[in-house]
Amino acid sequence: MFDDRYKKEMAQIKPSRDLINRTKTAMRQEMQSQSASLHKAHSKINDEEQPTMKKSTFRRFFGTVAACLALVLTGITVFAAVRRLTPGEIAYQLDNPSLSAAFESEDAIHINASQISGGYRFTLLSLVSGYAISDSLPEGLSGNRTYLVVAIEREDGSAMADIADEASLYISPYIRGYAPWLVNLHTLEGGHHETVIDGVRYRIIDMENIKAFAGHGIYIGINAGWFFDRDAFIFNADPWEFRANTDFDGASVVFELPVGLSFADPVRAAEILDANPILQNDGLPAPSDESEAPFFYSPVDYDALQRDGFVRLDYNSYRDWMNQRFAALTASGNYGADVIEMFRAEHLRELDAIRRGYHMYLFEDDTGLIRVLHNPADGEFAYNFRTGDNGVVYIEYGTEGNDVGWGVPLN
Amino acid sequence: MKMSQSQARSDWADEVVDKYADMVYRIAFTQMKNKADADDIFQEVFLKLCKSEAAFETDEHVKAWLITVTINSCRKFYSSVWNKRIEPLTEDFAYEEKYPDFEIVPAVQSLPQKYREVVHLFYFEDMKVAQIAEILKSTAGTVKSQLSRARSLLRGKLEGGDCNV
Repeated sequence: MFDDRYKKEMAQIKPSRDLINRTKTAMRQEMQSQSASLHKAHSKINDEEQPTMKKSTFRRFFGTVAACLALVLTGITVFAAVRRLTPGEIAYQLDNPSLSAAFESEDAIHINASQISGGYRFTLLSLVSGYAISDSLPEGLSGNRTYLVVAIEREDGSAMADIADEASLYISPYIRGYAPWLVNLHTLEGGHHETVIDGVRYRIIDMENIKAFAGHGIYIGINAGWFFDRDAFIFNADPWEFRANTDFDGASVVFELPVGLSFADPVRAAEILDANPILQNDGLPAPSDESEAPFFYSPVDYDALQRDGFVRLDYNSYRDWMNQRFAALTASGNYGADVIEMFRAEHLRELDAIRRGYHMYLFEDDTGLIRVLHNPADGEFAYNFRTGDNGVVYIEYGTEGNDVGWGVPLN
Repeated sequence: MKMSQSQARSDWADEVVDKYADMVYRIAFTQMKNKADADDIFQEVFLKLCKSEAAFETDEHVKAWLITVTINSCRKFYSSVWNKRIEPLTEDFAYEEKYPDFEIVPAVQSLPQKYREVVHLFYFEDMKVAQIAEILKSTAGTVKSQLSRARSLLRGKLEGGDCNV
């Protein structure tokens, strides 16, 4: 029988004794570190003259024990007095020693510009990009990328404990002359890695080599939320203007990257834009007219989808499914109230769409992404719920007012 | 002599590793398909346990937490920007050398990730569909559907063998 054979074979797969011993040792060191941090936190409270904490970085696996962890354990708020890590150290902590080396190299551009908004201080630390770093990257990675490091600290100086407790943030590059909802981190094939170390949140953003756009003007926009939020910015197409909206309820800042014209590579910039399926399908956008922001239409063979594991849901089954997910998400305690509320709002929107006659299909792809497909009478589109870093539910959707929002193409 | 709190924690951590090392490693190995990454996931999971603020009331709670975190760590690996462009290293040669009689494990590992998860939890960990759904934050219907699809794929892969799926 299958299960007997599977068990028999799998029973032979075991961790080595050495691995177990190393893991136990690492755990003991981790716990000792935690105790030490706790002790330091208490000492700090008793002695305001404590010097800035020096720490040994580059402990690849044992990880830095965040003082914030101790603070959570003790329930005491201590204001951050730790030095910010360098981009090289951050990349190393995120298990990318090659990128770490690149940030320590002469190719890195160090920015160190800060702005405060929405209760946070955002500091663009450094970026590195271009073919110059390709030799130092692991096999299989393209050197033709830009890596940008952003440090995020609480404005009041208190230490962060966990990203899940903090506001969700969308940090994206934007290019002068292009609508931010069309050319952004998503369409520049970007992503990010993120961690909290010593109470400071660090995010490394990986994207197409945006230095090629130096001739256009390159911006980094940060807004509270999971995707570009047009309410967070003042945007005009002609003359092109993109700046933070100080009335926005949440973080909203815009930096202009100091990338010299010498880095401009119009040929590469054109290649990047040509490869952008949105711009390919619809031509250059008319940024002043949001209605022209395109949806991602994709021909969908629903019969094939059902054969491939999609589950078609009617109103009641979708409601039940989503209510189960709510219950599980809430019970897990891993999600902030804002995430749950956003999820709930999306859920209600979905239900409303079904009421209006839309069909809905769900499936989970190989990366754990749960895709939700609608089949409205006037077109076909898709968008995603994603479980991102730290288990936070990530929803890709677009501008308010659209029935469906917009997401990534199916293919 | 009274045991210190840190010593008690340390002993508890050792106990958990001894008890669940095989389980965590097998899940990681099934998902990652190679020893090096499985080793990394293994260490990552137990270190996360050290850092966790979860209040474990029962062994079952610890076990469920470890399974969830192991699967999420594997998923995170695959979905990470840095890793998704790297073709996962498989160790077919190692199977042939070290486990020449293996037939089922390689077949399970050749399944898409979502199917590997449910197959392993169902057939090796003997978990109920509802438990798997809870762990994977999915629904019983989806898990059943995935199991059904996985069985179908496995039948195709194991066709001609003496193993009924």
